[in-house]
Formats: sequence, structure tokens, C-alpha cells
Amino acid sequence: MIANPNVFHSIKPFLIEKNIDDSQLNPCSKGVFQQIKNTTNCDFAQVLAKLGAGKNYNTTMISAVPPNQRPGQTIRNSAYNYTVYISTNYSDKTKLFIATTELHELVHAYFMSLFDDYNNGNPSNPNAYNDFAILFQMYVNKTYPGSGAVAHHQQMATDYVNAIASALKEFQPGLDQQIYDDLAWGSLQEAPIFDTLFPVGSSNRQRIINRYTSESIGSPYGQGTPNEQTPVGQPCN
Amino acid sequence: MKNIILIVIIFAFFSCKCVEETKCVRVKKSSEKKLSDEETAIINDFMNAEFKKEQYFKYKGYEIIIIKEAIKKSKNIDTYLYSLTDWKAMNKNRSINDARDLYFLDSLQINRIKSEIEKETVYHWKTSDFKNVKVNLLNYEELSESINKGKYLKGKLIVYLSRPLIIDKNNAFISFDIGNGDMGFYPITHFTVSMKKENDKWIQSKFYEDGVF
Repeated sequence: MIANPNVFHSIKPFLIEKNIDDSQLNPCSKGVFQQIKNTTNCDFAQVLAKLGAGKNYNTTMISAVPPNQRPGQTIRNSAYNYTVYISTNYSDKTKLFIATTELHELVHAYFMSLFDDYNNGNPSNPNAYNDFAILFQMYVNKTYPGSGAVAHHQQMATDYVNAIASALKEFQPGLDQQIYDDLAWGSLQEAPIFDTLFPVGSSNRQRIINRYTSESIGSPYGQGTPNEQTPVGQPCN
Repeated sequence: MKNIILIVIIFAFFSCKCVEETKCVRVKKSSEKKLSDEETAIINDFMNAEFKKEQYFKYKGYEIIIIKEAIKKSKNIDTYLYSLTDWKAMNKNRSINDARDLYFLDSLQINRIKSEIEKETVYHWKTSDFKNVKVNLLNYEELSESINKGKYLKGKLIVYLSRPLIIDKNNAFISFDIGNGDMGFYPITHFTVSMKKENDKWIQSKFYEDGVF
């Protein structure tokens, strides 16, 4: 799937109902999410439209520290019931980092909704995985090695890096395209394709890691190296 | 006089009972603070196998940090049940017998386990619990503080680990969550795994997902 409005034959994906419950986000994360909801990026609009459909899917976003201290986490509580955590830790993270985390976690929730459409729908949707071969292999054919998280990240790397990068560009325009791309890749470092595209020791890999880290701490990272990165996102406070 | 004797007898009875109960509690608390030999074997066989996996090759030279507060044993059974519910949804037309190896507990066993660990306390890991893999410990709060301040633990793998939930002499569960400290806690993998004893060695057998991504 690529960011091309012509691939949709219906206006429905763009009529975003925006019912995702963000009432438990703190003001900064909520402000970021409100801005994300206005993205016109087609792939991401479709993600938001589905999760915010209100009828079947219950998606709640909350500001809280996930138990294991990740920056973000998505939990499938039960069928059609998902909670996205945006950590209140990482206190100096930039708004651009929050946007990256929210977009990443919402794609997880979207993938979970495909699982529920396929397995728990009434009627179930046998076409739910049509556009997502890796998830299909993992959940239906059970041939993909590794965990569900690895399959999600590999599928995200295949289909959503450009969508997340484009949504970030809409969120904070005017930056070098490389920054948007690097942040989109930053949260996919455990996907097998990441190691293939950006091998350990490569300059590209270090640049991505430094960009992701610098936005998470709101300070320059990798000082004194060729890949030093300085945060470009705005602070919350 | 009769009343006084009665009071003394009653007092003595309750005193003895209290001593016995205190003793029992003390014994129980003592065992909660120390791993059994079997638990030690399970944990160490798990650690030895886990960090030899290919996915850790790129972290060669990283120090292993165990979060001192162990994941509660109840996490194991919660994840097992979550995974079972998903399996049933995905295999509506198949008998549960098809997955007998994977979901080997019956409902009576599950209820008994739940009841046994209902009041479990948090175990605190010691470096001496780990025999063959060199580890250091860190409090959860220390990790939280370092992440909050952006003082990430560079060159360290951070490991959350549950105390083993022993089912019988050949089966147990462990839950774990491992992340890269270079970027706060950057998730690498997490699972609940059943450990099976074969030829006096505990091996990782089946993996269960908990719906956390």
C-alpha cells in the first residue's frame, strides 16, 4: 500500500469519525494526537478511520508509563478492545517523538483489528489480510518465524514506513525528508528487514538510532561522531 | 478459681496456636525469599539458552541487567489463558485436543494454580541466583528514573524475569521481557515460555503471546 489517494474508490476512508478515545492523554500528547487526526495522508487516514469507527472498535489512548518502561505500548485487551499507552516517562521527549510513537502504536492497533476481523468477526472477514501477506503467514498459515511483534514490525516496515513518514511531515513540515524517514524506521529496529537494509556498523543505521534517541531525550546525541543528531521537534513544555 | 484456670487454658491454647502460625508464616516467607534448587535450575537453563540465540548476536559485549523486582508468577497463567482464548478464536473448527501439547493444563489445574499464587509477594532477584551468565541488578525505580532523565543505560540489555511457576516435576513457566537500554527500554522480545525437563535439563518448549505490542 502506498500513499496514493487514487487507490481508494470510496470517500469512506477520508470521512474520519475520529472516535478514538483520547480523553486520558495528557495535554501535550493529546495536542499531538489532535494534529495527527488531521493528517490527509491516505494510508494513515484509513488506519484512523478504521480504529475510530466507533461501532466495532474500542481504541483508548492513555498517558501512563507502560509496565516495562517502553516509550509506547499497545495492548489488545480482548477482541476489538485496544489500549495505546504513551509513556509519561522520557520527560524531555519532543512532540515529534510523541507523534512518531503514536503513529507507530496506532498501526499496531490497526493490525490487531485485522486479526479480530478475521477471527472474531460476526461474520468474520476472510479478506482481512488480503493486503498483508506477512501477517497472513503469521496468524493464518503460522509459517512466519518469531513472535507476533516481529511480524507486526516486518509488515509495518513493508507497508507503513512511508505512511508514517508522510504523516510526520504533515505534523511538522519543513524538515529534511531524511528526518521523517529515520524516525519512521527508528521504532522498527527489531524487524529483520531493518538489519538487512541497515546492517550493524553502517552509517545509515547509526544516523537512524541517533535521530530516534535525540528526539526521545530532547538533546543532541552521538556528539563528536559524523552521525551526531540534534532534536528538531518542539519540547512539550 | 475455675474461671482463672479456664482463662489460662484458653490463653495457652491461643498462644500455642499463634506460635505455630508464626512459625508457619516464617517458614513460608523464608521460602519466598530464596529460590529452590529446581527454580534455580530452571532460571539458569533458561538464561543459558536465551542469550545464545541469533537475535542477540548484535548485542555482543552488552552487559545483562536484571530488574530486581521479579515479574509475578501470575503473569504466566494470565498469558497462558490469553493465548488459549486466541487459539480457540483462530481454530474454531478444531478440537482443543489438537493443541494438547500447547495447552496442557486442565481447568482444575488452572484454578488450583491461581488459588496457590493468589497472595504471592514480589520476589527480589539476587546475583547469586544466576550461575553461568554474569548479570547485574537494577531496581525498577532506578531504571524509571534513568529513562525519565534521558540517562539511558548504554551497552546494557535490560531483562525482566518472572520467578518460575512450577507445574510439576517436568513442566514450568517463565515470563520474560528483554529490551535494549541504549534507547531507554527498546523492546527486543517478550514471551511466556513453558520449560520442559528433558534429560535433567530444562529446555524452552512452547511460547505464549500476551497481546502486548
